[in-house]
Amino acid sequence: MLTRRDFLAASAAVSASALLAAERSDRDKLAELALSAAKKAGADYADVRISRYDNQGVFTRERQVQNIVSSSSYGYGVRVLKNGAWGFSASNDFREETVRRIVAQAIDIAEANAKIQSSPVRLAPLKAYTAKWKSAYEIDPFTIPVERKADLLIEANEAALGVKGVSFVSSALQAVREDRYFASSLGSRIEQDIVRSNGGFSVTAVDRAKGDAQSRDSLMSPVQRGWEAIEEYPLVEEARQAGEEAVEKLKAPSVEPGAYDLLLHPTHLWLTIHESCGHPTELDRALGYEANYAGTSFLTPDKLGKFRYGSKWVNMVADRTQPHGLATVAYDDDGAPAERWPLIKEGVFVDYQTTREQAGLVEGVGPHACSHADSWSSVVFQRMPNVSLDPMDSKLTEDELMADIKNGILILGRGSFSIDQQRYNFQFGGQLFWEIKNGKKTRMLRDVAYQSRTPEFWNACDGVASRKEYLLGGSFNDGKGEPPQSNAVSHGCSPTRFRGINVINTGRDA
Amino acid sequence: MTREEALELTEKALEAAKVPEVEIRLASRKHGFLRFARNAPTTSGLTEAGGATVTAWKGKRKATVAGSVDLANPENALAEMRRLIGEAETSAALSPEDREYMPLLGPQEYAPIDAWDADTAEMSAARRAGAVADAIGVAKQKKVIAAGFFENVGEEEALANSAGLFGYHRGSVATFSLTARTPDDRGSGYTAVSSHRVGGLDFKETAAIASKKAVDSRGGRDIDPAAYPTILEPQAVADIIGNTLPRVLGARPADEGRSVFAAPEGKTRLGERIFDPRVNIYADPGHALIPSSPIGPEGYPIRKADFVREGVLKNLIYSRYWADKHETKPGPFLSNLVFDGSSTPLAKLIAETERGVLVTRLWYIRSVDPQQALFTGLTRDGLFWIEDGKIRHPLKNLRFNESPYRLLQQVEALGQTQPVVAGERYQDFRMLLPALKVRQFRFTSVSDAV
Repeated sequence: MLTRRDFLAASAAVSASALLAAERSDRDKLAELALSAAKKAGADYADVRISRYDNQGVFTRERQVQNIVSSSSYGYGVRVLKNGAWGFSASNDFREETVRRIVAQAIDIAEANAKIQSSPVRLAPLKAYTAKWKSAYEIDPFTIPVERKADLLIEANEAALGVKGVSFVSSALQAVREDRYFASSLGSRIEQDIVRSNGGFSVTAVDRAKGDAQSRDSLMSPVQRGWEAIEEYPLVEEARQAGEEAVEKLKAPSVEPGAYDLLLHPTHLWLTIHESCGHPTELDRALGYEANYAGTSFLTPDKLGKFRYGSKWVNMVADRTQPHGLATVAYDDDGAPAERWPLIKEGVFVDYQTTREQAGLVEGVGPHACSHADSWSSVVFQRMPNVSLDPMDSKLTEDELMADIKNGILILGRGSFSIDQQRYNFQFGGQLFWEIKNGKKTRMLRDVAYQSRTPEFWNACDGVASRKEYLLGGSFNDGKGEPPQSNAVSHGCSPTRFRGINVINTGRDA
Repeated sequence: MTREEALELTEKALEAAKVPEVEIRLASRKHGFLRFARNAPTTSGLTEAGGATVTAWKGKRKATVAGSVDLANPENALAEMRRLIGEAETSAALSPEDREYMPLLGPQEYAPIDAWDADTAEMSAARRAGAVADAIGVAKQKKVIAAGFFENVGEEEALANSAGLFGYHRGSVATFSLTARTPDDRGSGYTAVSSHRVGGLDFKETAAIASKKAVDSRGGRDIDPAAYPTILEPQAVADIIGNTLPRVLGARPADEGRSVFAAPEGKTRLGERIFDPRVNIYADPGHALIPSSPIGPEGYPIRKADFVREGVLKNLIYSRYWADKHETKPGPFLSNLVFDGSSTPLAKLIAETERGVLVTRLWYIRSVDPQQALFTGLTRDGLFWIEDGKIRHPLKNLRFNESPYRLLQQVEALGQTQPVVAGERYQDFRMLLPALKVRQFRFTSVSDAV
């Protein structure tokens, strides 16, 4: 068995061999070379991102480790603005002649695009920053031996398999590190070190006689923390409970379709916030930049400042400074400092997510540091900050919210999800569905999904529990853009109540 | 990275291995792209990237390590590959034993696939901008606003292992897609085309088709969400069948009772006529219109193979381990998908429809229940009502809860095939699919989205 010290030594050897990507002085040199070549070629603005992305996953099913996968990707991307048009090129060949060729390719693209550009790109003023920032984590997850990770997962699997009726369980742990360097022709030099962790499992119970199977996934969410987040989470205990609940789901009654009051737990509601508020408040979508892929938005600029998106309980905040939020940074990929700002204030739509380039496209809408690229080889564009439902000064509890429900359903966990390309019509499932009758949680239900229209749903919100019950949910993989990019993002909330939402039955006989 | 370069690099790298079993997969990719919106370019770029994925086994202990490799510079590349092998060996030593261990495959025969076009792989920025300018020109003439994406990829892959296996494949692809929206935001239309030879793409025609759909779809009317006879254009067939069916063909989930192909009492549907007898679905990496890689998982060759023939489920996909356990052959694996059609044009399918819905594109499709292969999603960018053999008017978009499994039992007619690009996910997966008319498609609610 390799000790922790041996593992650290192996990791250090990896870093040392990562050529120019690892050293600050080498990065500065590469940046100077690229920025001066861009300036010489006539660029009005240029930036260079030199980054390394490490990813480690441990995957198990039942009593065996399926695989241990590590990946590291490093390289650089050069972005130039010339004649009012963008050009970008990237490579993992760090030789000087290649760096010059990559800059020339970016210039070539900008020049070709400028000929068909209808109006020049304009950038909001920005100061130069020199900074070094590290995300908040205590234990670097890459220093934990993989055997310890595998042992934890197998222990969780055993706990689930110990429940009579459980047939299968798969589980995984994932660690991510982003070592990012940014330099711009404005003079910025920014280093950021970001660590994220994730864990979870899926337990399945099968009734072979009936040909029926039901699963229960972990309620754990990824987070911008280190190994301490995995250690604090009761994964083994939850796996045992999940086993019992998967078996109970096989026997649970199928939901009767109709209108129900819903009490949505943060382990579930984060995804509804993501889809129905996170995406429609993106300015690029609202203006048609995503029309060919992710879609547009019903929150068009004419609605700004006056559209009643939700009830007075609904206060949505965008925040790239939130501790442990997956989209939290100190500076975005334009080199602009991270911000916190309201999107929905007491139910009214008041602002968008924006970048430096988008400032001024809509009157009164400023830049909000939402530029991001998911790799050194990806082009920078507007990506989602952490968007959360702020409980404000609510004093309510989940129990009090439940006490005022006659006929409802409590939903926990992330299930099936789908929403239209303008973010109106959506359908969400979950992991656990508990019937609420006359203020009390009664029995488990199955085959539950709810369908609604975004403004009707958020206007049906009549209670948010206090900050004491606030949790962050999130995902490592929010897709957007062409070529598609994947962004990590968090959404926080407390248990929240909605009145009279349409519930459908997704079961076989429905 | 030529075949010879890949062979030399992998041979030299494998010599450095300290464990008897190592597999190396190399990939080199050049990717040019130009995105546009509001009738103007937005983001674009040209990226060059090389990488290697190394799996090492120490006895039955296994680990996989992937990393960037500067394949343009053989000296650096070799050093980085050796480092990755060392790292995989170190991690393998730490790993618990793999209970599903299978020894490495020895040398295999791969069919030569003609999938490379230098003109496509090496396209210039000016050529991309010219094509986009042509398409935007058409959109402006038609008084619509265009957003879209044009990309060209040249990709080389090689797989080698210490048991003497070596495979090499290279392919190119150019893909152009365009969404046209009317200035009043009441109409939207989409078209995408793709080929491994860019010379075969018509950018102006693509823009004209999307523009017409946008104009024709203005002001969609309400219908009650319910089950209707429905014609799916090939793009919509790609979205609901092409993107979902290949992902549920695994033999193991079926044997374990948790897939749509599972039958009661621990059996599967293999050999059963489960679909309409006109349904033929197969993999064909050598297909002239959609050539794809012949190198499958662990180096197992991908060959032409039936999954559904005359409605009968002919094959499910066995991994090497699962095949060994069930005393059968591994595979068949797939890197593309063909669904046979007929000679009937779309216009005739419409002319022969008394009442029904025409779907041009589907979106945001997610699994609701894997056991039923039940998916939910929405129509998008052009939905129309057909009555007495004619398109009568556009419809408001609709949400569906439907199963590709059920749709293939509900076939009324098949139309002509065309190469299609997956819309939301799996865009590298190439498919040749027909228009499809089904007796019923289940819509569950109305969407206000345009």
